[in-house]
Amino acid sequence: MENPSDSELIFQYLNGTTDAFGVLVNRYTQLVYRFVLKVLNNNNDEAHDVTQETLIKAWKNIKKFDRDKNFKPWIFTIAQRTALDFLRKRKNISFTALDDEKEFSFEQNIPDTEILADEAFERDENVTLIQNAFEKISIESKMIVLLRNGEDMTFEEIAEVLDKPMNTIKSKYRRALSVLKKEIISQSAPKQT
Amino acid sequence: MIKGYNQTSPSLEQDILKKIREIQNRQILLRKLGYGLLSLTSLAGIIMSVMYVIKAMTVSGAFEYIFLAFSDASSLSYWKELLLSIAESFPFFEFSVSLAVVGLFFWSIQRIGRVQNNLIKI
Repeated sequence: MENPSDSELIFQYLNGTTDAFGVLVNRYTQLVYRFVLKVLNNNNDEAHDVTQETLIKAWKNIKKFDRDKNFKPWIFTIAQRTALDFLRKRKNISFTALDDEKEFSFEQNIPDTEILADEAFERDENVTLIQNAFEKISIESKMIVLLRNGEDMTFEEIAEVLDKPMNTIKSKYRRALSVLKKEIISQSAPKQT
Repeated sequence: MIKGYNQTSPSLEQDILKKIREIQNRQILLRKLGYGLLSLTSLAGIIMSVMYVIKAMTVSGAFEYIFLAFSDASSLSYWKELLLSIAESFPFFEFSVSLAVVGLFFWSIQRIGRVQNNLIKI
């Protein structure tokens, strides 16, 4: 088979094809790295360590992986937890702020924020602007936006990764985009004048 | 920015596989030591348990009954009684322990051979 699925690779690995895990490592290292790099505010060394630790944890727990589920949310769950552990050690973020975040209902959120995701995120000139705006939202909201817009995950998959109800994820996503939009507008306003 | 590709060092994948290999090597070494110790212990156990079985068979007279069954053809005429005597005097518990120790020895030897097979190739 030329391009075996993740599940097939895991099956092969558990049945003695030792190269199969190497294929998974090659398939996911860059994805995990890209995600944790942004979670860790572009700290390359930490992103390197977190990626390495994530893949090693995945290898150690590969027997526990339920092959009826998708591998990608599973490995991203490990990645986000490992990244959070690193951030806790670094003590750069307030986790009480993360936990105290108010729940907004889906209907309460601004409906036109998708435009922001589609347009602004893909413009190179907005990189710094977005980076600065990202600092205004909680780490969890940041992860949701990164997983949704960066990894093209469904809300269901993100809910699995973050172990939260899907509606909570949806509302946090909308709210995060709304905050990002406001931040970007307020940051770019002086330049336009 | 979100989808922007942040290329890591090309060796990251290799670093990860190398690290896994190192962990595996450590695990293999520990397992080999463990199984090696177990096989040596069980080998000593085999010797001791066989000696124990022989001693138990001598004390209970099981050897004599077995010897009688093979040396005296007339004993076949009362084979039921002879078989019962052998069964009564045979040290089943000691014999079971010996068999278990022999099994443990071969199992540990087999495990030493199989420990190496799960290494990830880099």
